[in-house]
Amino acid sequence: MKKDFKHRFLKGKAKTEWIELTRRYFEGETNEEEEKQLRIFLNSPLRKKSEFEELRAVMSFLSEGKSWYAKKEVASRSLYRKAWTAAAIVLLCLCSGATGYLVHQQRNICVAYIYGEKCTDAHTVMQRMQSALKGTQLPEEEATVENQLNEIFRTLDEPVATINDSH
Amino acid sequence: MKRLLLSILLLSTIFQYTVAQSGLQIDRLFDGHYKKQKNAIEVLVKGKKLEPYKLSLFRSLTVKGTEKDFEELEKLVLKDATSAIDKETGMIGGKLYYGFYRFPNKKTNYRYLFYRNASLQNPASNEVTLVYMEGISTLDELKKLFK
Repeated sequence: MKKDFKHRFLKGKAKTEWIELTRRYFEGETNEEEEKQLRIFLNSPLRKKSEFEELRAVMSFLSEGKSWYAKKEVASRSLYRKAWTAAAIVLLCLCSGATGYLVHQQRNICVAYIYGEKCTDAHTVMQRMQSALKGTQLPEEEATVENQLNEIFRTLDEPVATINDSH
Repeated sequence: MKRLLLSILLLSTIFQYTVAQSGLQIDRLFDGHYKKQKNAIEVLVKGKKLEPYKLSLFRSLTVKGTEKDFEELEKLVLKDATSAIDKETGMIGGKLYYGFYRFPNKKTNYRYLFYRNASLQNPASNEVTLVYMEGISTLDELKKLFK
């Protein structure tokens, strides 16, 4: 049925119409639909005259070029996508690596800021740690006095022993 | 492609730089503003270095200054003191001279806060020291270790 339709469609146009269409094609005045009609005509048995040979050659050449560029574009798009995918994977790996490294760093920290200066020397930092702890402890003499006071008050709180004198 | 990019974004947002948070008012003191001050010493130790002490976190702040400089520290410590489960304090002239506090455990870790305002006992020593620690060490063990 499709074949019949094509045949009727092509037969409907007079030879002069095809020549006119060919002229317009070379002038660059045809649209997609008209070029399609021309291609169908050139591939049909109705095209008998040699005056269409030149058109056939040009259209074949252009069609070949078009399909070549189409393939190239598909290949280029595919390559573009692959490059993006590869870049994204590399970025993901880098991010994961960086995350792992930084998490490890966060687990082990040894730093002191001494009067505005940052210090990461472990020995110095640990010394400062000891100093800070000593700074929160009461001096020995105070601790001794406090303990003595605690002892005194504890003794006072204890119940007084009563002695029964039978004499 | 969209899923991949979303995964990368998700990873980035999941990972953030986190400063050890104790969930106490004193956390404000360790937000970084003492790091550049010429009258303060701030110490932060986490991880391997604390293993011999059976601690997981050690933070301290020593500030030299005037009464006004120490007001903020004392205020925050006293606020935290209200949630302590064990405490020992000493006052001089209505001000907090020293304080030892133990807070409810964080998972299996004990949490301690030590504070002392040396300037109240000795005006020549115009400094306040604050220490916060987390770990599985008991207080007795800590006392022995830090002698």
